[in-house]
Amino acid sequence: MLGELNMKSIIKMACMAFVLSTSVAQAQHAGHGGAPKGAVAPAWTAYPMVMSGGGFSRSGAKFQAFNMHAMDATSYASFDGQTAEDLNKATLPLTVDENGAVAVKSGAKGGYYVLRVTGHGPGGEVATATTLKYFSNPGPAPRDLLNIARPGFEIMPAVLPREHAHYRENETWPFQVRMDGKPVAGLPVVLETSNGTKSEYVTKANGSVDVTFPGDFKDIPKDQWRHGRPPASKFVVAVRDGGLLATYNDSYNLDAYDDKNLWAGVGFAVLGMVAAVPLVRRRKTDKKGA
Amino acid sequence: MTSFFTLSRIRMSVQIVMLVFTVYGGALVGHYLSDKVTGALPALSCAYDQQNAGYCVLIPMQHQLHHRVGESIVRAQQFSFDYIIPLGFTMLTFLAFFVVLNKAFCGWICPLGTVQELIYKVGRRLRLPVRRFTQATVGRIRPFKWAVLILLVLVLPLMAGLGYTSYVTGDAYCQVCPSRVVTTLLTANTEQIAVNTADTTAFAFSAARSAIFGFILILAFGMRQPFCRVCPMLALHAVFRRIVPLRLAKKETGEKCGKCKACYQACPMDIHEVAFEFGSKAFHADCTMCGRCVEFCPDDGMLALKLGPIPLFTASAAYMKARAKIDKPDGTLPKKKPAPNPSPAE
Repeated sequence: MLGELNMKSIIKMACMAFVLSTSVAQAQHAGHGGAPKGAVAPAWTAYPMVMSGGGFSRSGAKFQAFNMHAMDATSYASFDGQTAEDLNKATLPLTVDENGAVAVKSGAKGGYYVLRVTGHGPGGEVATATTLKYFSNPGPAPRDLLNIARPGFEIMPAVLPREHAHYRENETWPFQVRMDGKPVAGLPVVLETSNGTKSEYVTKANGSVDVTFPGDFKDIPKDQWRHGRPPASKFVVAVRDGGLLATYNDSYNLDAYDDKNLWAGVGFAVLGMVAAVPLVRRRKTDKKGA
Repeated sequence: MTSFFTLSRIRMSVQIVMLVFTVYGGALVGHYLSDKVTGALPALSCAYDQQNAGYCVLIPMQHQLHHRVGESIVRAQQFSFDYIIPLGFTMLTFLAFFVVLNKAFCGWICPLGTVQELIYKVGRRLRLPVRRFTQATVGRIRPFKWAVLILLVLVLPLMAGLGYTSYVTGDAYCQVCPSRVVTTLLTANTEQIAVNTADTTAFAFSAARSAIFGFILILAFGMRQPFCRVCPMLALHAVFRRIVPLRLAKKETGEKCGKCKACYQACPMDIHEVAFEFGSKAFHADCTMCGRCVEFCPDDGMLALKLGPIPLFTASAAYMKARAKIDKPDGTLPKKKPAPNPSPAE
């Protein structure tokens, strides 16, 4: 019997066992694709927003517009350049279905995509809801994507957290309000979060506004955490100018030091230092050899 | 080369420039990932440092093994080369850089290597005793770097992707890497020295990271390059070191060689083979191409840093004589000559 087991069959059996054993692990990855949660409007804000609608993959993602009668959508892929031609090349008109759902394809390029949905807000105003999605491969940096002059009224991040970083509680980040690419000063900007905080700011002379994310995360049971942290909370920043309404929505995470203990870290570092001291201190033999 | 412009001083200047560049270079090259010089640098330039100029190759390796290879094996039906290709590109990018400088990325570029070297210099100024490992101890320590590479960089991230181990092990090496603490502290960010209390595994890894950082910090006062000896980057470099034209070269024979052992004394990695072996065997897997062995070799032409057949820096007795006035092979500063006694005042 053993004689019949050659190397090829042993490898084959090992591979089969390995693939079968991974089925056990599949349960641990359940939910990674972010299943659609339906088109129920979030209760924490009345501002127009465009939020992830599930179906995220490395090649595309689905989005859902809320609190607005969505009519048109456009995606802007990240690009290098400051000309209208550069912007045109990166612009892709999208179709919004009757329920406000819209799909963005990243193609092979990946990187950052701005998704903008236009329509009418709850008060009948002309509304522009914007969000941003990062697909795995870096692509061009989003500097030009964020700062180029685009037609219409908009509020956009001036700079984004770097890849694998996040907006976090108690951090201040700059946003920019523009009308047809020109900064607009003196407009009130409202921040609303899914944790129930509402705060107001005013744009400066250069159209920028520094928004501080509140420390308003509530205790979330650890069985709802994923990858060592609770699910991100949502926020929307909104600005009005006459009959125009522009919003930008995204998510933010726990404070950098939440569930971290700096002094315990310093304590372990000191422990390491103390452990190393006997190895470097002067000994009697050193004096003899000197 | 005058006694002022020694290879060691040129190298230290390069190290300082590269330390500043790797830790703060984001201000120069840009904030976003695509702005960085590379995401596969053959040195421990940490991505947790938000201001750096490039990422260490170990980061994408672990992420790709975790999120692409591991998770795609779990979804076995979806497995395709699409999931392997990013890992291939990471390795190709790493090799594109590595082929230029070989293991000199350790001895000339790595920010953690530079910080350890600077601490050791402070130790010499403080006249602290020098600690060296015996050949036997070096032999016992050497396999650890391979264990760290295989276990923390390759196996645990893959296991995390397969769902067998905690998400924390998805970048198991980064969890304990002291460069993560050193480079972020240099940017006044204390987040990475803090202990993560979210769960037991995260706590264990972050506590180990802080303790390793403290241990290395003090050990470096008396011992050269303590962390480099178990660094997985050293092991990764070792795999490819023979295919790169830039290398440490030693003659195939030499009657005088092996007697003074100055090269071995000068080697910060305690590589005895550089004194007792000849030819390609002298270029050991642990070499960081710092060039100190060449500087302190009194045998003309015995050792050299070479680019293919072209010698870039060659051992010479005259250079060694001038060089030894600055510091001894082990970095100890020469004793000051006692000042002549002043004539007693009348």
